[in-house]
Amino acid sequence: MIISCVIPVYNGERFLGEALDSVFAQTLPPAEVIVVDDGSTDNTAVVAARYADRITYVRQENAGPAAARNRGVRSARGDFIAFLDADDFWHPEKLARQAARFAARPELEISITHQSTFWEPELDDRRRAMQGHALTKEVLPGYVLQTMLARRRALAKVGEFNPELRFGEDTDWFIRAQDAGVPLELLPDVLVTRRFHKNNLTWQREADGLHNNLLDMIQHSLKRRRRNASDTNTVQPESQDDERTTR
Amino acid sequence: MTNELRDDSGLCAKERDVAAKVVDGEAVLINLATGVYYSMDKVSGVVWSMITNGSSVDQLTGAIAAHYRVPATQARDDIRRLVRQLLAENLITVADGPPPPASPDAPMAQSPGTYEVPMLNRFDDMADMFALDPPLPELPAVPPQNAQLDGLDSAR
Repeated sequence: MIISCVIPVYNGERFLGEALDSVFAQTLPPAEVIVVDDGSTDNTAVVAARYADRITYVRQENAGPAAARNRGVRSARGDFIAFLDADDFWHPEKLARQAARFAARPELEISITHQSTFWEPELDDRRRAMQGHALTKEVLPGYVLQTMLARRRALAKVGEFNPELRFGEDTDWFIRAQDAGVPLELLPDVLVTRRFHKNNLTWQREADGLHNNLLDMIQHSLKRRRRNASDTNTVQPESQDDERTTR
Repeated sequence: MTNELRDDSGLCAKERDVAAKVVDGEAVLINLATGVYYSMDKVSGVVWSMITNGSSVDQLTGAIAAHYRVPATQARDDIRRLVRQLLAENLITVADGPPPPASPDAPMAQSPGTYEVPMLNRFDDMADMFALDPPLPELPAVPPQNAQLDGLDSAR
């Protein structure tokens, strides 16, 4: 098992160090760490340089997180790929516990974990305003790439992240993975902490744009499944029972 | 708060919790509170578009029966059942006042096509992914050994 960790970063000087520290604190460290600098204009490169002997640093023109992830995966040599974002961090046993799942279930292709959310104090007002919204919950299922450890062949099967999506590329990818019937397991363990701070991409989302993206993804998924269903003469596109048992 | 459903009550989509979009006659809806999503195509896609204009069951029945040339009793039964489903799934509400006057340009395809009983297709297979209030999965997996935030303090 050779694990490559890919970290896309855009103007992440503030927290990149903590993210990298959490990677190097793993009880099962990855074989390589690839930091893809997506055209940062801050001191991201300076922070990355402090880890120069332990990371591969790649810089590209700003093209969005999906493109940065794709770039990282292409240059990765591991047979397993993990992702982390520059403002989030891992539990020290994150990779070890996931690796144990792959050992226990050889057919498993994708492992994700639960996530907790961590709000920087600068967002206290916002947090209060969002009371009741899921993101203010402390623990959530982590259908985000920061929690994922996947076999490289699963990434090949599902395909690259859609570079046209500036956000929601992870949701899109998980939908495609599910449509492709790739075995995925969600661990109950909370192994990733996501940090919300004033510069998160999350806050730059327009809710309408986000929902529009989501509806497009759903519609594409419905079409894909209808196509697959008619290819294989399956009865109904909504009978997803086979896929659900793999989760 | 909930108004009783009558055939002449105006209906409206729940805008706060529901995102919806109609493309090529198919409505795709997601309940953002549950992560459950829906598709309504063909006849039901038309019904959805009319509901977003505030139509009542009466108006829907008239438009659908005329356009697809089916008996009004059949159209009314089918539409009532669909509307009750939409209410039960929290996708629409019964408006306070009467519906607006029927729009002359109802969102019909030019050729009516064959009438099919309008359906609400419901999908909960990705609820975890979309849900704002997600249930924990039933997973026979490793127990969450000290899975909470211990260890993270040292990482921060």
